[in-house]
Amino acid sequence: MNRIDLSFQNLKKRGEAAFIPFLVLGDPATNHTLEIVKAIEPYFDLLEVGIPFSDPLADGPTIQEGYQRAFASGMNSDKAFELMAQIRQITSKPLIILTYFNVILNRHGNPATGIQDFFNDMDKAGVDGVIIADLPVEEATDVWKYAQTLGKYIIFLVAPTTTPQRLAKIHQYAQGYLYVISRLGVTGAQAQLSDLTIETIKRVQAKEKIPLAVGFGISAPDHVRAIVKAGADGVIVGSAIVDLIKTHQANPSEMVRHVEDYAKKMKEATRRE
Amino acid sequence: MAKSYYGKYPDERGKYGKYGGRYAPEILMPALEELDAAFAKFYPQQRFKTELKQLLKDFAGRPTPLYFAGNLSKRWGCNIYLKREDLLHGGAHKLNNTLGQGLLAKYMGKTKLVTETGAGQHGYGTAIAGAQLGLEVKVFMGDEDIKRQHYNVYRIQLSGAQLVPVHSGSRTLKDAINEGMRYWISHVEDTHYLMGSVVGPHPYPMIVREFQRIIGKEIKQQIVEQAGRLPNGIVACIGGGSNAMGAMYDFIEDDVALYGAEAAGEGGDTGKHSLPLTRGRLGVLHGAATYLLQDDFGNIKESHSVSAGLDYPGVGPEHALLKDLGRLQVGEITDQEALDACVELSRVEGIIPALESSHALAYGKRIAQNYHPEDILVINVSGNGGKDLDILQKRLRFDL
Ligand SMILES: Cc1ncc(COP(=O)(O)O)c(C=O)c1O
Repeated sequence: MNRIDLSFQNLKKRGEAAFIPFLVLGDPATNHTLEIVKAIEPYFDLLEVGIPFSDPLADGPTIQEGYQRAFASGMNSDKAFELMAQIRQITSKPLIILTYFNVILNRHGNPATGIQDFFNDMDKAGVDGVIIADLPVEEATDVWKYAQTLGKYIIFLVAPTTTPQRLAKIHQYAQGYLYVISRLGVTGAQAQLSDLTIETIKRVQAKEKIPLAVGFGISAPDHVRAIVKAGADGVIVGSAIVDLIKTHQANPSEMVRHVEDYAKKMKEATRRE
Repeated sequence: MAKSYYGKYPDERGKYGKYGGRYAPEILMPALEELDAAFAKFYPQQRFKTELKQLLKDFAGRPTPLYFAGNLSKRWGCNIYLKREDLLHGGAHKLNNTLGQGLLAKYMGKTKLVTETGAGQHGYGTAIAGAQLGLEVKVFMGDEDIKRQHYNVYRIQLSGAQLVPVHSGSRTLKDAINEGMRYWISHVEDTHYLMGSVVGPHPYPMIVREFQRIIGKEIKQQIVEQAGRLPNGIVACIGGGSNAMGAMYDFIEDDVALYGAEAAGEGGDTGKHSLPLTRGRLGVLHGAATYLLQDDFGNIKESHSVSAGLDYPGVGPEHALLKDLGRLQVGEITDQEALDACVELSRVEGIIPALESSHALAYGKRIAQNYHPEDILVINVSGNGGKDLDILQKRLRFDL
């Protein structure tokens, strides 16, 4: 059984939603990523990690800068898989990659074998799934085929703009969980939840039994509680953490401590009263 | 020749063979579907056609002349005809597309246009369309391009559009597209993204091709009127590829050679170039699969060219297909060759071409060596060099 399914089953039994933090691999350096993962391991339920791409058009400034710091530290897909294998030594929880399609297609610089190689590398590193920001369901059939043979999941995104027809198409391929985009926009933390968020959760939820994890702009325990109350099964928190890393990068031990405190607080908010 | 080419591309998934497609974030997918449906609905309508035709004729100045360049023909050893897109309102071929898409946006009930620009010609073209059609315009432009094309920056602002500088990445066209798309993701409901070339997710490469085909349709009619037959070859520069696709598409099934000039920058072997078709590899950028300049990890490399409009690491998906089919021949033209061609045309014919178009002229000069005096080459002069005077002055000084 894929670790992702197991994780959501266990959470359901415990009456909790999933806390899913997102880290850019190698931001600001590989050893820092490892230290942060160790520190927050008790608090996350699943972990999303980003392999940086040069042209991340679904990302706002915060994550773009995280990618830039990672590139500056020498990150690339080879090093990313080494780092994920090390993360797998630290945790037995589900590990999911977030990246852009060209990083996969051109794994080892060869589009003829890239997709297959990427999934083999995922398998070797113990990664359970992948979110591909610029791969809609229509273009995903090749990738999906390779994922199936290795028992890996493609995590699809659903947006407030997604039509009922598209939602039905996405459901045919969705496994693990659906990544519900909370608002119209690119990634980035915000102070308040958009009204669209709750509306979108309800709309997507009515349809299907697959777990829903909500992301984009979630930064505070209040947001988490509102989203869980609306019926979501998890929250994805990216930019708020990448912001903490940026703010405290000059002092690594402070940085790790801040991210740890934050993760603890956010996890607590996922427990249903 | 590629017989039975028409009608096949793009296929129902927006593909040109293995190229093209729709690799876009989910948020944009419904908007792309809506655009596809709107184009299918309005473009064939008589009312839309008449309105666009009128705008292109009375406002933009179509048809543009096909000019027999007698002086160049003598020097180069065959008959050279120049398609004068430099004489179109706005100074380049861009208005064919911006008026078309602007009108389409209006029919769709959108009130705002957002776009990217490299040389500033497309940004200016969009600003013109916005002013003419009563749509609000926002133009994203890289810092680097703002510096080297500042006349167009001013033209854009003077026409009432908002210009947004882009500081990320190489601070050129590629990054302006990223930033424009990000903006569109957040404002997709009332805003049309007005793509500037035959690039991006389906249906953009098809829509831009259809609006630019007017260039080739006119060439076909004009050359038959003037010379009594089709040309032996057509030459155009390729940035994203819209002027080339526009000039060439209606000749794909004819016995006419098609030549595209890519920008070799400082030289094909220096790594400082914009040669995705000849030196790139299959990849996905800005919503489409195509040839791209990239490293071994799938990260996009910065391109280089003296000409901002050709300074892009990707290329239209249909050019990728036509190259693979052997239908399109691609030449590498360096900065220096383009500058020389710019000077030559200015002096010999009294036409100062854009640096983008100068690449087509330099390639035309190279190819002309393979043709006989009675042969005919048509070169598309995609734009006017007024925007490039700063760059020219830095490279080429005259004594007072
Ligand atoms: C005059 C001119 N020609 C050519 C181009 C390149 O674009 P495309 O290849 O889409 O025609 C530009 C782009 O800005 C331009 O301004």
